[in-house]
Amino acid sequence: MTKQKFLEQLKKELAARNVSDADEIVADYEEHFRFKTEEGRSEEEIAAKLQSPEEIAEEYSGLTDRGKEEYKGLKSVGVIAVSVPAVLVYIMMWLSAVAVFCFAVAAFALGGCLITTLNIAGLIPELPYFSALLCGISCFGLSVFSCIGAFYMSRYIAHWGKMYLKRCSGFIRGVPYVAVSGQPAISKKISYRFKLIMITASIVFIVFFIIGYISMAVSAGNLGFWHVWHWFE
Amino acid sequence: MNIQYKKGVLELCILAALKNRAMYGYELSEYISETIDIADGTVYPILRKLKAEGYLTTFLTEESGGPPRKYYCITQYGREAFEKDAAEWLQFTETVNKIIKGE
Repeated sequence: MTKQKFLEQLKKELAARNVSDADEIVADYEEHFRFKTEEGRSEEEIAAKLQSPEEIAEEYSGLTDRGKEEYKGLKSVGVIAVSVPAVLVYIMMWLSAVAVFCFAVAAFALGGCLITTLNIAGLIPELPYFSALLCGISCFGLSVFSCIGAFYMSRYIAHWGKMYLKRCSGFIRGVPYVAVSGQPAISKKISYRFKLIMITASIVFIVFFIIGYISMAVSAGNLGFWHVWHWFE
Repeated sequence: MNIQYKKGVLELCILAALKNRAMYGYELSEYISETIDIADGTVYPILRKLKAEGYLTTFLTEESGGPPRKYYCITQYGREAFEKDAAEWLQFTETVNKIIKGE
């Protein structure tokens, strides 16, 4: 039999027996033909040394009938029951990531207002421009830091969601061990850059916050400058 | 060699082969065929079964000038199962050898 005919027949026999992942199985045998051909064997020879496509398909179909299919319904109900609180927790995690992002946006807006002296809704109290500039930059640092924080949170949360689903499906299907990784796949380049940006942003935030505070204290002549300028009255 | 002995033992041999390194399907098939006289392609269904049972897992690698290759590697669960089964096998064969030699 030629390789083409063998593989086609194998595909047919597997389909007839409703074997899942038939494409993967056929690919394995195609690889087998490829390697044997490289060694110098003819397709006829290779096919002859293999079992017939029918016999092979018969073996594979025997494998899927594993008896691990038992209690699938019961297991599914169990999984759904456990998932109800799990989904709530999951939603809360996402909300917290969104909250961190909103915080980042707010910090950015505040920074922008301070630097451009755009006093939205009169929320920003009086302060010398120089100090406002410093505080504004500090806010930007905080904003960037929080933004990246939100990014990491979202990646981890999405990954945990996927792993949870993988575990559930493995459990229902009766697979005894599901390999799950604790880390989401973040490319090394992005990971390195973001870490760098996060560190820079946090340094900017802290440094400019301190300088800003000092400048305001100096301007007001008082460490508690907000009293001198009547901010909260 | 009797085919019944072979089939039961092949799973153990495959796990042993993968205990220390990952291999792709054909590589494993050739490796086992070198020592045990089995028909071509016997290994493939067994690999699938071991994977379905969680003893093995697979990963794909990019091969230059060819389709990606699927490598099989043993899982922690597979490792533990192998240690147990290997010990049982050694114990079993020791007993059988004694009986055959008429001790």
